[in-house]
Amino acid sequence: MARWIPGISRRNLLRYSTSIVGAGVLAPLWPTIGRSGEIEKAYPDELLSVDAYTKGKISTGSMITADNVDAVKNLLEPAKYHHVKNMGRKLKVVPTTTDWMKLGPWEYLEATLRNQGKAKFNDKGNVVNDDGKPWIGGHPFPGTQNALELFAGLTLSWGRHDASLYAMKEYDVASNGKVDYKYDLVWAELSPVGRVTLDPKPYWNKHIDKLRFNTVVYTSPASESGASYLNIWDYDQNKLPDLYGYVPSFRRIRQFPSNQRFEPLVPGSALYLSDAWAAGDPLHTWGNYKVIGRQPLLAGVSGGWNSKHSNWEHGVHGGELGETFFDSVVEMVPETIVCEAEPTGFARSPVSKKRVWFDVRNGMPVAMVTYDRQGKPFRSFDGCYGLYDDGENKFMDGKHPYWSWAYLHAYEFQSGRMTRIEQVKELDSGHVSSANNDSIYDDYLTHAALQRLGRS
Amino acid sequence: MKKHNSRNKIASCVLYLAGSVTAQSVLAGGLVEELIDKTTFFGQVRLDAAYNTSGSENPYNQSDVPFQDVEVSRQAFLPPDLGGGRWGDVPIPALPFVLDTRDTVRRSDRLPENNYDFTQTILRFNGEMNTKFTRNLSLNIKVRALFDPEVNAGFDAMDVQNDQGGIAGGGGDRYADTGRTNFYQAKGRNGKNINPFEIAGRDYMLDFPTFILNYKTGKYDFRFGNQQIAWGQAVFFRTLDVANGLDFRRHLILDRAIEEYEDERTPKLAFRATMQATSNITADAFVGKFQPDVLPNPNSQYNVIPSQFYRPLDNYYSGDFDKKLDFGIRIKADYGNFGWQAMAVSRYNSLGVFRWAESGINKGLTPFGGTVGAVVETAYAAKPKCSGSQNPYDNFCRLYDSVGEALSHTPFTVGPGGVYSDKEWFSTASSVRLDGLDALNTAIGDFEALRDVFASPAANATEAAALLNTFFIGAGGSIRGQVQRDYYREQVFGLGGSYVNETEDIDSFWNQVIINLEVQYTPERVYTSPDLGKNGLTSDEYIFTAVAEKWHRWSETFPSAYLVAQYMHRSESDLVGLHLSGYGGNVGNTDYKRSDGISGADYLVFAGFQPWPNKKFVAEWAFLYDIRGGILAQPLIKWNPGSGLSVDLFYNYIKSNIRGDSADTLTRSLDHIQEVGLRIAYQL
Repeated sequence: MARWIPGISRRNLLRYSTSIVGAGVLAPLWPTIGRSGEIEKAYPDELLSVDAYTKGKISTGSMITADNVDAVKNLLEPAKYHHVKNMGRKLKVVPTTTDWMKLGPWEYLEATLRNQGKAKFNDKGNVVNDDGKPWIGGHPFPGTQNALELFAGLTLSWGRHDASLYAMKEYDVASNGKVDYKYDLVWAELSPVGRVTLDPKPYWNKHIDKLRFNTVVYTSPASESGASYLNIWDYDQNKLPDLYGYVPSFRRIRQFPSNQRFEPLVPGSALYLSDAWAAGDPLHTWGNYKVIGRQPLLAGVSGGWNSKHSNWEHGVHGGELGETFFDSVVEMVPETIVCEAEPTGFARSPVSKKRVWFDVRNGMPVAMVTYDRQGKPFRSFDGCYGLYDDGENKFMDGKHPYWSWAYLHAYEFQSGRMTRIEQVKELDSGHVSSANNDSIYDDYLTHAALQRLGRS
Repeated sequence: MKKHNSRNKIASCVLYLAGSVTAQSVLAGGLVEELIDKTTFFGQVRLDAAYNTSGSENPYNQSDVPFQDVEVSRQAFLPPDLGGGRWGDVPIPALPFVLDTRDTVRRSDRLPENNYDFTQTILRFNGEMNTKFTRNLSLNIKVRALFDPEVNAGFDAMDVQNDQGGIAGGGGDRYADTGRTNFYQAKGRNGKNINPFEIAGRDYMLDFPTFILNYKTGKYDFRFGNQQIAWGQAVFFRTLDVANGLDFRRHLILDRAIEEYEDERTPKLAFRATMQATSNITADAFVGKFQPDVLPNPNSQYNVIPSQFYRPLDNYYSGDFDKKLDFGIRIKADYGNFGWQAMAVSRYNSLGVFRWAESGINKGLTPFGGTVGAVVETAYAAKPKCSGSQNPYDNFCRLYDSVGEALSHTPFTVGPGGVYSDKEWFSTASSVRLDGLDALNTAIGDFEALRDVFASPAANATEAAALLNTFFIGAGGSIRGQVQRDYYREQVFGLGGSYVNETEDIDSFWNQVIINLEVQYTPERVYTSPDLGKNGLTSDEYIFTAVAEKWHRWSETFPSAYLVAQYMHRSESDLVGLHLSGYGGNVGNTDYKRSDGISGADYLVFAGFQPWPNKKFVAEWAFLYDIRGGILAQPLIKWNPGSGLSVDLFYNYIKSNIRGDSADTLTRSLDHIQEVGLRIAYQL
């Protein structure tokens, strides 16, 4: 703990961090959560409050700007620091989330508690239940310190819902600050296994051999409208997903090679399929998973939902034209585990490795940096999760407030381009964000659906 | 949802174009405001331009047909039916100032030159409106409106109205023949638009490529309206892509190759049902109103029908083909690395079958035909009228009151801009896969009025040349031909299979190569006969296509390149559907050579694209190689600078004589095309 104080170098911090055996500082994290649902007893004030960490230089509720960012330089991954220091990005500090049940969908977190200790890897390296069948829901390795287990948990369930439909707006910003591409798109993901909300659960037996159905479809502008990609994931994480796409010019669906995962999907975009949720590819198409350190981090894990806007859209600021960044919030994440992995299943991938900061409390990635083949920083990703409940308004997912991501930034170090994406309530084309709606299978995740969503 | 002014402007535009009310009243109505709230609008303005770099003109247009600039000798002969023995046996001697039975003719002396420096200049607006009435019910409308500013106006029939009495109308709607070049209208012989969802003039058109009501429920999806249906995995090769015809008017098939037939597929009014039968199998079926291919008009930039002929009279309405239905079903299954599909379609072949047509134009030989014309008219008038069972074959009698009336019952009309010489006749016939000798004899056989005006079958090209030149001299210059188009039902069956090759070595080039094989079998398909016979040519056809696709990363810096190699074999027809028995023949300014056909057509394609990082630039290429020696090459660079702008720069290069006999290649028909093209599009 003494080392996680201002003034310590990042290198020393990471060296120190890797020597720690378990999560939590004052007390082991996971038993603390299991007992109380709170994390406060596991961490000292310096790791729960930016006020304490900076000795009042930055306080909760204030903004981190170029003027004061050096006070929290060690709490920011390199891209975010660069954004604030040099590109005019501002980060609003919100209180640290201490209620563990606010760090994910209620049902998923319940299942995590309920099913702890039942998960294991089978001889193919896939996560299975203790009976050898596919995983039954929730995070399989809560409180883990193991990079492979962290990535395995994330790969098993990206959005933590059995089914998610994200209506999204993408803005691609040039290095001169100009938004030169705008897209509307829909992201749909549905799990046929490990289901905790949708019936039948935990398995949709018809597809028990699958891990996920996932479609991304662009709905605007007209030049890309209808372009879509359907990924059908095998449960076996050694196999690449089957990939189909609707090609608007052809007016029909074509099969794509399954290793087609490092390609820009649309002009101007800095996102690959491989980037999804920092774990966009099957677990064992990457390798050399390792923990390289642990650290507290300023990241967005609550407060990102903009209920003030009827469509949940966010204000923007920064960059030369004031449009490069969403208005962003961060809070003190007391402990992240910094992991790295390298692509092993792809020929000539542009990425040599990725470094992911996992929030140790819920196993979600809060930041990622990828590196090119020369080892130089390539792209970075940061975003914000949170409950869609800001005290004044709430958006429900069944009996509980919706938990999801709100926005993300993907930054290209070398070109200076920024892709920012936000989850909105509804697109002009009528696609509406939702969770655990099993109709999305027929609506988005079949060949017939792609055909329908495609250009007619 | 928040609406923007620009959206409302596009909405106004789309609604105005689509509806019967003004945009203002549409937007003023509260109900419509509510509908607009449930509606998305897209708009795009686009410039398409292409500049001819070949130095030659379209050989199907008036300015550059075979023997355009060549002096050709003509001699009139005494017809066999007037005691001349065989055609060519008895030349009619010329008497200066009295009997002009021998001359030389050069086409270009009779016709103005109208070249196209710019082969394409089109300003267009593409609009789309999508209204979601409920979660399950939506309306999708696409509007395509384009205007041609006519940098080159093309041939004007009025320029030759003082020669041979001009190009006469009659016998059907001659909208594309008797005035200025008509770039966009496409009508049946009764004057009705072939595409009912289209408004077109000579330099503009507006249509609705899509106008559908979509209803979905669970695994079912239903679409009703004007729509395009594309089946099959082959790119550009339409092995299983048989539901829609093609519209060749705007840029033939020379648009950006990777767009395939996006702008060419002729939409049809149809009901389509799609069902996700199982998680692996999709069933797709349609029933729709038959809609034929639309061909470019005479003298337009990409015209493919000799302008010495009138625009083919289209029997789409007069033959009640507009009331015919096409229907089909396809089952497609995907199992990861394997897949298959099967289809059966009952349809009318959209290309149709061309045959000689009665002109319906009553125009005689005098005074244009000089003394020969007068002699023929006199000889005709001298024949007694046939009576009872008499006919002009066996009896010396006439069927009609005049030569003009007789000719109105033949496929030939006296007029300028037709065929001027035997050499031009044979070469022109060959250019469209016809045999000049057979076509002539078929016309004589099928139209007794031709026998009536002293035409009789020719045993060989020499006799045919004598006959033709006699008539051309008698007409005072040239004779224009008439054909008509009919349609025939056919049953099309297709099978396809796909396989994704996987190798142990992930770096192997052959890893993740996607292979598709497709076969089409159509029994008793009817084609245009090389002699333009009235019943066409019927034969069974099979088409085989193999496709190998690969996304390959050459480097870590650049995204994957898309590479596709394809092979197609067609047993009976070429890529555009013309029967192979019409291949061969003579090309350009050469003497007659019989069109003895080829035994099969084989094509290779290599195409693909290489995006730059972020896809800001995309290099594309497409090569179509006819293994008999023809090539179509299209390199293209696409620039996506953002802010709604995109720019395509491309080159179309077509050659037919890389090796072998160019008359045996598909590209012979188009090898005048070498053009640099530019497309600038802006998203509103």
